[in-house]
Amino acid sequence: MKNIFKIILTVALIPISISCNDFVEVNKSPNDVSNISPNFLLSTTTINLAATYTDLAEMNGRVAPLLQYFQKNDGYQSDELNALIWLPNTRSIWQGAYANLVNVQAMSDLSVEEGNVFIEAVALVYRAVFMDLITKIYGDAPFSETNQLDEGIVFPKYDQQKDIYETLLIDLRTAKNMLEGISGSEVPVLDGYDLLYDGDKNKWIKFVNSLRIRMCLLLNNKKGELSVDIDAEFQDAAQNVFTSNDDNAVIYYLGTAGTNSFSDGPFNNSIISFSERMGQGYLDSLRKQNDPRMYRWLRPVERKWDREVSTETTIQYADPLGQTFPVELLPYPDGYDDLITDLYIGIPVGNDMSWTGFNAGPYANSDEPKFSPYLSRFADMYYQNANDYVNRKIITYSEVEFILAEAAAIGAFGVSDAETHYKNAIDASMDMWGIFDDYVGGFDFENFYSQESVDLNQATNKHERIMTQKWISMWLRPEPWFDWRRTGYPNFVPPYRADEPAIPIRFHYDTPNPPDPQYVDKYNEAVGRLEKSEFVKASSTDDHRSRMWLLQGTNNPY
Amino acid sequence: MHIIQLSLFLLVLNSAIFFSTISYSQSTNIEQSQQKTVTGMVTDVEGLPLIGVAVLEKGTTNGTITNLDGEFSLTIPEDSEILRFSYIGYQPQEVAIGSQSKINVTMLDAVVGLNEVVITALGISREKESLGYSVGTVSGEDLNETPQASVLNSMQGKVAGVQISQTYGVKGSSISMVIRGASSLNSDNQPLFVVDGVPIYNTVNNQFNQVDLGNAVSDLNPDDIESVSILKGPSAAALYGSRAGNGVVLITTTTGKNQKKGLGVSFNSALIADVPNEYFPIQNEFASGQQGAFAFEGDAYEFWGPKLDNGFIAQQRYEDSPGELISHENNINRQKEFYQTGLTQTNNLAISGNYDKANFRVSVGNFLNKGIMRNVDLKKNNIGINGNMKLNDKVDISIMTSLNESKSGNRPNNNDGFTTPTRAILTIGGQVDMSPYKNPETWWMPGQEGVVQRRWKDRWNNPYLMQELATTGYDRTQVMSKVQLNWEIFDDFSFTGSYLRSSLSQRVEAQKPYNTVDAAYGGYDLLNSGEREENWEGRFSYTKTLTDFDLLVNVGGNLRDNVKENIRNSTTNLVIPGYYNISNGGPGSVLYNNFWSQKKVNSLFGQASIGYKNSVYLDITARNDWSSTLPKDNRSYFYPSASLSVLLNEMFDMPEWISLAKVRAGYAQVGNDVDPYQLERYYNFGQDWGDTKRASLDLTAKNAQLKPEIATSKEIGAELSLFDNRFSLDATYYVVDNENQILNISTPITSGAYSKLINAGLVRGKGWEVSLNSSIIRQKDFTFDLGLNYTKNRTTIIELADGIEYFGTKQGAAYFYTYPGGEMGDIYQAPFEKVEDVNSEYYGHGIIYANGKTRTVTDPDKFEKIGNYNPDFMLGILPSMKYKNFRVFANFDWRSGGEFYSQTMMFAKNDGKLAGYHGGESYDMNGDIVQQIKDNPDKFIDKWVGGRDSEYGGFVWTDEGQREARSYVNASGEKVYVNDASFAVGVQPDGNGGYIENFGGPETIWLSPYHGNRSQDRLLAEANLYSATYVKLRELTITYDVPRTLINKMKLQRLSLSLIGQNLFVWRKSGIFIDPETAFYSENDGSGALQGGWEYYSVIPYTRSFGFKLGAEF
Repeated sequence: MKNIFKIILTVALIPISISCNDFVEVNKSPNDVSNISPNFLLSTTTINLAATYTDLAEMNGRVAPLLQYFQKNDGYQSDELNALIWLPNTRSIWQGAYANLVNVQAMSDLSVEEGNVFIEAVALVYRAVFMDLITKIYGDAPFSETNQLDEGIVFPKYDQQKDIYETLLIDLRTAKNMLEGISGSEVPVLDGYDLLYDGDKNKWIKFVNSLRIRMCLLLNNKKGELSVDIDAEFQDAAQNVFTSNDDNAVIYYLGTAGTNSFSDGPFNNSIISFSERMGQGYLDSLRKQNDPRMYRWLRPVERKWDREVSTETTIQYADPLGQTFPVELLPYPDGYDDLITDLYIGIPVGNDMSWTGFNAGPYANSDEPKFSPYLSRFADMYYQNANDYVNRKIITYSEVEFILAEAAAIGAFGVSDAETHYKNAIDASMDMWGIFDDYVGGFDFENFYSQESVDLNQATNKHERIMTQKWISMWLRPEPWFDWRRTGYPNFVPPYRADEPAIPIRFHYDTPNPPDPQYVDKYNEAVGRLEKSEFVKASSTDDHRSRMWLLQGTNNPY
Repeated sequence: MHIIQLSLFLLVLNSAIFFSTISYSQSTNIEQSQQKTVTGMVTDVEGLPLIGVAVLEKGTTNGTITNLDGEFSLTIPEDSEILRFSYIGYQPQEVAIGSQSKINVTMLDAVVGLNEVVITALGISREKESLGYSVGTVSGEDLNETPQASVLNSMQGKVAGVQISQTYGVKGSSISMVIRGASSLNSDNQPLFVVDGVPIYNTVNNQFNQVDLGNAVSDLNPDDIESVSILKGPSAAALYGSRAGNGVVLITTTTGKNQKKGLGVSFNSALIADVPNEYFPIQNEFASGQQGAFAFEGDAYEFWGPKLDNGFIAQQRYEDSPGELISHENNINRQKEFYQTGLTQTNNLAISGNYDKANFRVSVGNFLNKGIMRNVDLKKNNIGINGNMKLNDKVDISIMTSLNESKSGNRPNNNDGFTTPTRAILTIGGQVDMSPYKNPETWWMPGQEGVVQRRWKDRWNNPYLMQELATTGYDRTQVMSKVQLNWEIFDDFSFTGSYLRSSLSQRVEAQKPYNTVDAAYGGYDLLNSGEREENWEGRFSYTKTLTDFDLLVNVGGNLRDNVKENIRNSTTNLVIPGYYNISNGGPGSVLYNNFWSQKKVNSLFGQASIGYKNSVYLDITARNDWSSTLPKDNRSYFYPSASLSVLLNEMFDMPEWISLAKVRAGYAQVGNDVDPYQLERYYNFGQDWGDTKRASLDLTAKNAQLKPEIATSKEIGAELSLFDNRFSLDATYYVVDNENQILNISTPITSGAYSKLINAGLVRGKGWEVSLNSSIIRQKDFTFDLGLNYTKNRTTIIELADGIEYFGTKQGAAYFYTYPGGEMGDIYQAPFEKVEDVNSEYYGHGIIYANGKTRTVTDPDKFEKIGNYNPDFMLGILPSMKYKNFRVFANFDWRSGGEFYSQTMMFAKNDGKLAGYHGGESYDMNGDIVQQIKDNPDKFIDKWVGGRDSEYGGFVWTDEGQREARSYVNASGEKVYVNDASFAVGVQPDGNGGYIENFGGPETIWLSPYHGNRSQDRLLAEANLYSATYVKLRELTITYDVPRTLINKMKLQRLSLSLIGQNLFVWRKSGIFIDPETAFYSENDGSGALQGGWEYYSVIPYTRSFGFKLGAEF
């Protein structure tokens, strides 16, 4: 019996010992891969970078209403977006931006492994763009100790903003040098994976240089504190920046599924509620200078109050871009004296309630106001999944020219000829929005430019004029917020019903989560380096009206 | 069915006891002496023969059982004095033999809680009194008192230490079973289910497209179940390995063995109606709107709009001109009209055969349910086959296969999404005439059929249309098979080899019509998934009985292989509306995914039990597992268990009235591995960007050094049986420590990952479980029994890893955080920023910001504990009564204590939807509000004051402009001022360290009632925290057994008719509609399933079920 026992035990043990050997193979996932070409991350990070940046000032971002481009016509969002009651952890880009930095780091590691200098350089550039965005929105931020979980760093320290920018300036220069070092005119990238420039080396160099001059100008007020010579950086970069709209760093939507469609198109927003309406002040600025871009961005009201008609009359209104819209003219109602009778109507900024009934006259109590036909809607392209004009713009030729114009106007970086740059900038914007193509009878730019409110020479304050026109041209883009912080221009009228008078100058940090003491300490250190402005009412310095290093001592914007 | 089932069941158990005794006797010598034969008949009180009664010569192991006619014949020594007759379910009797050679005995109905034989790990039958750990049992009879949709429903309230809860109370939805509380932080804490030795796959997380498809264990046919053993702690379960940490539910199906000789047929049929009887209370007094009673906003989710039937004129959708907002009968009753009476029909047929060399049983079951929502159904088909054949004296082979299919054309979407029909029906404004939305001919806009929905508002789907066209159907087949060979190699030494396989394949498809909110172009989503588990198991058994010792040894090994696979294709863009096929997906919109995972575990195990003089039993088990999912160095893990049972009544002289006095103690460990692929970080591909692939790195950091989890449990218990078993008690106290749990802890994304897998923590569960059975009245024609099952559990986190401050998640405004030292289930809230200076006269008041609202703090150190979702105790109350041929059975379930956070209530208030919620904190409208707040701050702190209009507590707007703006002209041309000014109670900082009162005085910042709610009740979890205490009458049956004298004439073995009631009565301490049970769907935190203590949009009406059941046996 003992023998049988032994035999049986042995037989029982054999399959166990054999099958344990393939356990390592069994536990290899067939669903995912552990090593891939960095090209596959290049596509991901490029799209995500464009999205993170542009989302800030698009339909669901905080910055567009802040810049008074539009107001949300919807009660539950309006107290944050219109009245600028910002709270921590909402609409914060912190998590998303750092998550993308994880992939940028992985792309960098893989490119080194594969020996792809181009993608390695791109990783440096993308890291700089993400970090620039993070630090200029929040202030001091984790940087030098990020992505080191494997080395045991769970709670990276918050690097000082000054140190971050010094590193980024050099990183961008290094990236430019690396790109220049690649032989030939094409960079090594899988066909179809360079979504920005399709492998065009020189455009990549221009892109990096354009980002460099943007960063230098951002830092101009703090020039004296920096150990990197930003004059030299600017001048080095400015030699080869964008020279036409063909150079623009832009990602176009495809419109085949939600993930590649515009946020307000039917894929992502099947209920079209037209909840964004142009801010009245911005609209007035456009109207005042007879700006044809208004017709690209807006359509006329569907129902217009009209003192001239006595019965409802439908007319076909053709705008200067040749687009025709039916407009119902309604007799001006008795008992109302404040209805706006324009064809293009926006809404005043800053209301923390919904705009139900605004300019609806006797129809205020009706089912319609949320889709109010009494106010202008955005053009149809903003409700499509994809449209060539509606795209993700990282940096454009027009912006580059505005940077050069401003530098010249304030006498920075040795740039001259502000007017030419300024004119180029506006011209490029007109071009980008298809004004020259579509304006009925041809668009006379010189005539447009000669207007008193446009012409730089007729401006009493050239700096302000440039910044104001830049704000107008940079419709639905976040950069004017940083420009305004830096210069105080354009001089926004604070939202009339916002609870606190001043416009925010930063986002709250995300609350440390998990609230580990080490994490909280590091967060507190960073908060301690912020400076309360006179508008901070809360006890914490982590407020959207506290000054980060970039704004400290600059007396701007307040 | 009941009687026969019961008697068959008892027969099985009885025979098992008897044969186990007999087998022991084979090795002992029977003294040679003068023999005589005694014959006789055993009957019940009705005089009918009892089959299978054990007849034993007292003090020996010599015995027999009665035959089909209740007769026995036993050869005994001449000098034998006493015969002992025992039969489960009857009182044992001892009869003096004297000189009789014919002895007829009438057995009296027994009391509950006799010596039971229970099925334990590896399918080994053991006498319950020999076990050193707690085992819960439910007989097939008790399970099938009323036909339920799932065997788990049938077990509710019937076992101490077990918590069973179901989402939404919809037939077929997932049911969670948690044994001894949730002690694992990273799993759904579901026990392992084993059917006739075959482990089956079960999870409570079977969701698709917001639809709950129910769990696989619910597909079993309860009618095929002979008994259920619940091995509660690891002591009982160590032999099942890793997965036994949460307990094991051993389900034994009915076989042909122990049935009557030859062929037998049994049949039963039941019909039950589910009648909705209570609906979520919504108000129908005010129309849609957010701004307040002066403005109508048809598109608002909220109901803070104008008063209906009050002369308010407004333009509504699809109307040519403005008209008065009025209420509609079809709107007031819209829930009642939307839901319907459900019907469930079950039929079961079984054929069994019992012959000398072989036996078999084949059963067919069928379940059909029409839901309480339109176009919802559930069908189940069950086929069970098992058989056993003796090849020769030494070898027999058993086979079992069971095929369980469940399917539905559409399962209810009662998730919490805005567009789900159950929520949509509540979101319809009171002013809407429902008729066009109920009529399929007017669902679509004229000329745009199938393309543009008629909508009452743009952000709303018509629930009738969705119910009919946005369907999620599934078809699931579960197959369990077993082939087992038993070979008695020598006397006392045998080998059992088995191949055990279970598989599950499921096909789910979801379709969405065009123009659905969230799916502009419709959609089609198809998932084919499969799971398979195979076990090869070999085991040697050795039994030996010596004079004073009994020995049982099992040694074996197991190879397990688990495979999961799924393929999912979907499109969000149908080119041709209404054509649901992947090939109809627009270019670039189709997503293809597949997933495959495998896991292997090899094990060696051993078990030994030693009994001494039938009074002390010691059990030892040990197991070593090797798992493929752990790193090489940590792959092998060993865990032992030991338990001791001492029968005091056997060791000491005790009074006659003590039938059993037993104490027991057990210690056990169980190790656990992880899911596959948790050691290495991977890249995965997202949706293509045109022709370009997009990869990204997994943002969860894995861990190449993971160790197995170890759960250690200790338990002590006592069993007491008194007065001839008329009173029996089984009590257990246990402590379970879960160590090295593999947790996915959150890390700041700046570290490079959102979370990281670690081994951490010590979680300790402690609890009591007590079962009490008593036979209160025991007379010939009338009996009354009462069973009680008491459960109390507390789980504490003793420690977490370095750097982890708490474990848990936030849901709505409630933080389900547990800090080290705290109890699982703790609920916290972020309080408002407050005046913290104790010397200030405004100490404790919330700070009011310039928008008139408060803010909650973000610093977790300032969070306040507001409750805990665990019950103080749970009690199952099972009275049963018998009067002549009538039997009554009831099942009450009482859960006492604990709180839950209702997000449904939060939104109902926020949306102004809740009946009766028309204003903030009540106050004396004739008095000065400022003074009232100052006089009674505790009443008003953290509250808002005001209301929809003066009647409901609203104030007059002090600002003339506002007052004018918030007015309207009614149908009679009168100007109506809507006095709905409201405010949040608190103080405004004046900028100089002082405060300005926001008490309704001149400086008050006024809000609309909508914003008043949003400032206070919405933000504070406490405002929506309710008691979870309830009592439910889950089952009530009245059964009439047709007397045997009558049925014998009808050539039947048995005939019975039952009237059935389910959920006839519910009492909720909270007084609100929400069923607390729906907040306890799954008590876990890490795995993506729902959070215990959190309720969100379970707004399905309560139903009462009525029906009848007919059982017959030939």
